[in-house]
Amino acid sequence: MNRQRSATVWAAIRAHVDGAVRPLSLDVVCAVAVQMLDAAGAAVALSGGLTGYEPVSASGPSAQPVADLHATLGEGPALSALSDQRPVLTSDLAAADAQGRWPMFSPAALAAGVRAMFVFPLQLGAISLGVLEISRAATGWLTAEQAVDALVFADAALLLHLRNAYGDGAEHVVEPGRELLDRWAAVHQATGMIAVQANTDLSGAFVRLRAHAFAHERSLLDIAHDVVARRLRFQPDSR
Amino acid sequence: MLDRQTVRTFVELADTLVIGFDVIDLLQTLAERCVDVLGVDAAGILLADQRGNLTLVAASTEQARLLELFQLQNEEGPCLDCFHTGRQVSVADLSADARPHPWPRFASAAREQDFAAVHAFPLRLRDEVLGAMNLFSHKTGALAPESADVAQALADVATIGITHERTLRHHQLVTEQLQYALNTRILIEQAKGMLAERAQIDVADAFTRLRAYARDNNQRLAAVARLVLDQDAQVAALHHPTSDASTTG
Repeated sequence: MNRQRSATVWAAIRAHVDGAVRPLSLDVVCAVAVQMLDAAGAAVALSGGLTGYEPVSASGPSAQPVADLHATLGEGPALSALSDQRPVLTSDLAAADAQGRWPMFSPAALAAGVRAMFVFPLQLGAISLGVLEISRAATGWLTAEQAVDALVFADAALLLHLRNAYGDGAEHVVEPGRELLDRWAAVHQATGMIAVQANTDLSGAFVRLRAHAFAHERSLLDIAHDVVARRLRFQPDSR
Repeated sequence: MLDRQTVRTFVELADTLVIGFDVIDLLQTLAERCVDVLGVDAAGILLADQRGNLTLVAASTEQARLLELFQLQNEEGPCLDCFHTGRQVSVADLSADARPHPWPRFASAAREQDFAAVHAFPLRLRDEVLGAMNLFSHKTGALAPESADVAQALADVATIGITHERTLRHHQLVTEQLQYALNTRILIEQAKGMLAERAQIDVADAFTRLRAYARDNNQRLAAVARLVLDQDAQVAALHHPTSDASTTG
């Protein structure tokens, strides 16, 4: 199994963080992703805003050009990943299927020196925040290990953005990584229940669940079980 | 010889594969049909999330769900062994005085849920194992050889359903399908929570309502879950404290 990859990726991210000079941010996630995935670019784009595609962080020479192409042309692997809600992996943008799927984007990306693209949604069920885009100058697939790493980078970006958008800025909202909660149905059920109780969206409900677990030094799963069993209720935020 | 129910199940699954489907609906149908066809009492399907965890994506009953979750929580059990080895694992007698097996905590949890035997079948794609299918029985005993063959065939249908079309291009594209299936399951859990809170019912009843509504209206489970999450007026009736939908399915 690949559980150690998550620890490796998080260790690399932490090693790149340098106190107040270079705090944990989407930029750090992208920069480390470029290094570890042998990429020409890594970018995070959010799905909110007027256009539904808003690049917010980019690292590596091809990241910004690729994001600009998506924004300009309105098509490409990143937008497909957003609409299909699944990873979109393309080993060769010059191949017929890629050319057929993105007739404007593919030749433009090739002209910009990008040959392969791997896009991973930042999502947790109906919480869908954006995408992590990995671009490469050469054809070929990610190795199995790199594909796992990319999923972990996408998780990191998701949790980090949730912290920035909803949280109180504390580190606990980001770590531990998502691999510890994915399989627990109760966490997601509790998220849905809290959203109704606290009259918030799922993202806000999820962040409150995590913050509560942290503040009371209990596991996320314990708190989730309390919510599902109706031993614990959340109130609308007074802010 | 195959009985009529088995034949009907394969016809139903083949239809699903041909007309286009949501993988979660396919796996949920499979889990339920396993119970009908194989003479077992509960079934659950687990998929690897590629980050190192097995996640339950479909179960015939909440009871099986509890057990699957226990199994994951404690990181032991026949389904995990089946996943790691890619081979069928069968325990015909889970009782404490039966032949020793390596999962004492799993066995006692299973007995608490009144299960006496368990059988696990791999979801195998060439040299890769995507997950496993677990069958639970209240009675002790091995599966008949032809039932085991049918069970493995059903597990293979699940594999094909998960990997369909794109696998032919490259095995890495399984990632797209797997991640989609896993995320859809999370979305359904979120919807169960919302529905449970709005209707003041428990989450198991919420799932029964979702499933019954999807079936009665010929909609995908994920689509109905999304309607619930979006508070769509179309599913307003689901939210009533006592909904008619809860009595079907």
